[in-house]
Amino acid sequence: MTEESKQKISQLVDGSLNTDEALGLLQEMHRNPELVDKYHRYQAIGHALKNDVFLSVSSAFSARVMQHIEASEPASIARRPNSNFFRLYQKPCALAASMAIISSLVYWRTPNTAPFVPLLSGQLLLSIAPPQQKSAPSSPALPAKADPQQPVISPRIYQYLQAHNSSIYSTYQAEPNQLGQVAYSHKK
Amino acid sequence: MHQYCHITIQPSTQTHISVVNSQAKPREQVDQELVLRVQRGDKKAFDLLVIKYQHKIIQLVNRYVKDPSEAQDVAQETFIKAYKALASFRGGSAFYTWLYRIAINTAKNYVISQSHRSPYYKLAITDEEHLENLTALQEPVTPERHLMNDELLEALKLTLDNLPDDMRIALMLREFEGLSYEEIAATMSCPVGTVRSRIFRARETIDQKLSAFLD
Repeated sequence: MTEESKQKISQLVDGSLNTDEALGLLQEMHRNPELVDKYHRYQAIGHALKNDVFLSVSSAFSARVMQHIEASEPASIARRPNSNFFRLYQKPCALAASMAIISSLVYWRTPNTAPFVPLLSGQLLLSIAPPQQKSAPSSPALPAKADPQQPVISPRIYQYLQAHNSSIYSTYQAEPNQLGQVAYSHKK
Repeated sequence: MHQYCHITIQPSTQTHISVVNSQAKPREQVDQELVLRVQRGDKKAFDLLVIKYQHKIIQLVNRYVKDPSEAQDVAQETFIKAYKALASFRGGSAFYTWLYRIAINTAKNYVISQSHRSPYYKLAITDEEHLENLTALQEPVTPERHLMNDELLEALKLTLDNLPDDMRIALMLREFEGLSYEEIAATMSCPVGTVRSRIFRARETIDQKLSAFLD
């Protein structure tokens, strides 16, 4: 340990080193426990003069702290941007993401891609008009005019949903032909 | 040989105040730089912060928890808590101020938890204010430790008394009055470099004398 290093340690105790010198010395101290001991002794002298208590600290203290940190948290604590945002909106984000995935799957699985219609209730489905079929001579009679305000869905989906919509039986809107059409589609 | 200079007490001036402010800056800049490095994932930088502040934190905790080994455990917990919370540290206050608060809270919590277990801590804790005066709650120091401490203090005071005047006064102005090197230089009418050297020489002489007790 050189005299120069010791004098720098004395300056570090008093906080009079500039940033670069302080960082350089701390890095040197990280490599050399003797320097850490010297640093603690100089601090202990000051403390003893003021408080009449000589407090000795082991140079292994920082090593113990770091060992404990390594053991308890192997992952880096590097700051994640917007981590608070995700923590706050974790549940709504998860819900939105799952709904987006489901809707994209529904849209993707539809053969004649039509604009997405939320499939929420039977009542809503009844009010939706299917599109005009281009080629399907055996297709059943569907509502002739589609409401331009209403979104259009695939005829196959419409038939399927009509067949599984129990509310049409209670309102006498059931069309047995559609059930047959669904069965025919399945066989195909 | 020590450099000759006049020791005269001068009234503090405006320039001294500005010197103090500029002196506090590098210390905080070092901390800011190290904190940034830790936040980028450099664990070694945190080790440097621990090295830098471990003595101060143990000393602080020791005001609440008298037993040295327990004080070190509480200080260790303080640093671990600080490390875990460092990602959210935005630098609104100085790093040491922030660390100081964590240490105080950890020490207080430790004393409260011990008050339910140890007979030494059985004094009633009714509110937070009682925690400010914790000397009665601290575990008693063993006679051996007391004797060792007394011997060290005696040797320290003897060495201090035997130091050359310029070294002793420089060290005392620094430690007792908390003056900066520039202020001490102005007070003692000598260059800052001389003050730096005198304080270091004084510390080193005391350390050499005390090493016989500590080794």
